[in-house]
Amino acid sequence: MSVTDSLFREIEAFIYHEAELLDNHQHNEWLDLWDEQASYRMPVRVTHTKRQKDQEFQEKFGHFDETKEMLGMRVKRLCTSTAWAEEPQSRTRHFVSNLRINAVDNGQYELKTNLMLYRNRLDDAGHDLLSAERHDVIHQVGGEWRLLKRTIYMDQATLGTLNLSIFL
Amino acid sequence: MSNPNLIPPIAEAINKGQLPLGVFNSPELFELEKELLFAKSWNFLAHESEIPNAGDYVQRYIADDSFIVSRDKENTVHVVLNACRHRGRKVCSVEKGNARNFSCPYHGWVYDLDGKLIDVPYEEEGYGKNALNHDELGLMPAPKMGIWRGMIFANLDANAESLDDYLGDAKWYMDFYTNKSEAGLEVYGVPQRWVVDADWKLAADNFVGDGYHTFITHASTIQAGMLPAQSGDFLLDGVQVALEHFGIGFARQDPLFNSLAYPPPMMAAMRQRFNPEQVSLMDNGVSLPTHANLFPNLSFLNAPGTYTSMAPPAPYMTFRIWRPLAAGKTEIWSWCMVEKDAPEEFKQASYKAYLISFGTSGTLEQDDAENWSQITLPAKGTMASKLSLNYSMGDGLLEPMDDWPGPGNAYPLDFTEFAQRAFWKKWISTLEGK
Ligand code: FES
Ligand SMILES: [Fe+2]
Repeated sequence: MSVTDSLFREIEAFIYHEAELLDNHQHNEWLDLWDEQASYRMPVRVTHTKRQKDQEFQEKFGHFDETKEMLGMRVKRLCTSTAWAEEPQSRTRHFVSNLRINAVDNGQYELKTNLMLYRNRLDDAGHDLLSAERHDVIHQVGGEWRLLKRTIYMDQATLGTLNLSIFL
Repeated sequence: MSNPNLIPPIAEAINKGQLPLGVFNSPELFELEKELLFAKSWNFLAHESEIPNAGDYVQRYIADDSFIVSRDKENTVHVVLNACRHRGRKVCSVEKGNARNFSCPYHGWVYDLDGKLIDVPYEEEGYGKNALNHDELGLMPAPKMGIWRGMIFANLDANAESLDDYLGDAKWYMDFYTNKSEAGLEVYGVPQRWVVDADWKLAADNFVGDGYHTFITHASTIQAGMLPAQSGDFLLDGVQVALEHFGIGFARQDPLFNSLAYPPPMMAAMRQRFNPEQVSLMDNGVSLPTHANLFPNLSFLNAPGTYTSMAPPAPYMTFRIWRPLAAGKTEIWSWCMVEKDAPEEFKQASYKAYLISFGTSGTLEQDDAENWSQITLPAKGTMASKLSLNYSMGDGLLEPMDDWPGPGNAYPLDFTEFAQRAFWKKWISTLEGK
């Protein structure tokens, strides 16, 4: 089901806001955007032949497979002064595009976005570039948009970044 | 061979309990390591549970060499070089799958699951009838391979001792990881792979015997709750064991670390399976072992992790390979291992505890790799490469325990560097060709 122009703009603004919170390291505010039933997953991708491509993304095994509580623990860690992987913090820029919205039942909306994530650290002039498609499910709670589900489909089987101390 | 003045000063330093920082980012040493070390060591490739059925295969690496690890129709596991005998093209370009045979995309030579050459297109026209000896043109088997407890290893040196002989006394300790249940281990999912700007030896050095770093490196994970230790120095009161090719660490007093959070029925099953000397450790307040490294680059970790306040901490176990890509560059392969016959809820919990602790997104892993990359990058400096690192911890302070039931020298503290010194002795003597 398609959505009206104004609803499209509203959801787009929500998604940009979410990316801004991450790039600003406002992790607690970011966490607040998640529903209590949150599922945040990044299935591990395995290079298969075209014939066996249906097995490419591991259903049961991820780089992330988080509940809201797990996301909360990760955020809590980032707020300490000894989360060395983010001390100093990564400089990230989430470029979010190609938004597609599909209205489903119960006031839920399925979103697809493309993500290009630029990551730079320390005084290194180089960067990591991570590309993915994200499948989200959002809905409104008390008039506010909340993320219910995110599945991140990485465009890499072997990840080209030191760690996932950042969120995508 | 390369620069004859490269090795002797390093050997001299290691003998004195020192190490020049430059070993962590040296293209010259890296070339020697590939030729003299990785090509002559027993390298872990895969676990049998990754290829359970006939025709299953995975692609695996020893440094730059790619291998196909496959299971044939007779249920036999094979390790063959992933390079066509005609022009050398990779015959397998995926990470994993199931196949009837391997057919080379360049000119179509076809190899059976065991590597045997079974078809050459236009053979008669191009080569003449029966001119090609198929028996001599199969994919090259790894010169040596061996399987222990489902763990598949290969060695590129045809004269190497058998896997069983190589593992030797380390098996007494590897039992704790691999022999907890009747059915043994299985890989949960697939290995996670990622690339870090850090030298493989730093990771091995950490897992072989660095009980010391946890209180500071992993402080945030205790604060945030994923590492359920009473304090960050939970390995201070521990035991470190150094074998020539293997090092391992145990905790002692931290009650949670003693069982690593295994539920009582699994602990009871372990007691049945372990031998009396192994059980005597558990009776004397020594934990199941946590960290270990088998020379050169296979590490083990078994620890408790917390991922929810709704359930007790769960034990997780990981095997990992630090695959050398270049001087100062490593591809990490991290497997999440579970007991095959454990209840599904246990596997799930163990997986979640692993995920929040180790692997690509693991919070303890993140801070470990950050340390290693911040050692590796500066290590190529002209002045820094000559910096002499201190490896003296525990030397002259501790004597081996005389009541320790296992092989090797055991020391009554895991805040010590005996296993690391043993690792470096093994490393340098391997490069010296001894
Ligand atoms: S390279 Fe494989 S058939 Fe020619
Ligand atoms: Fe660590």
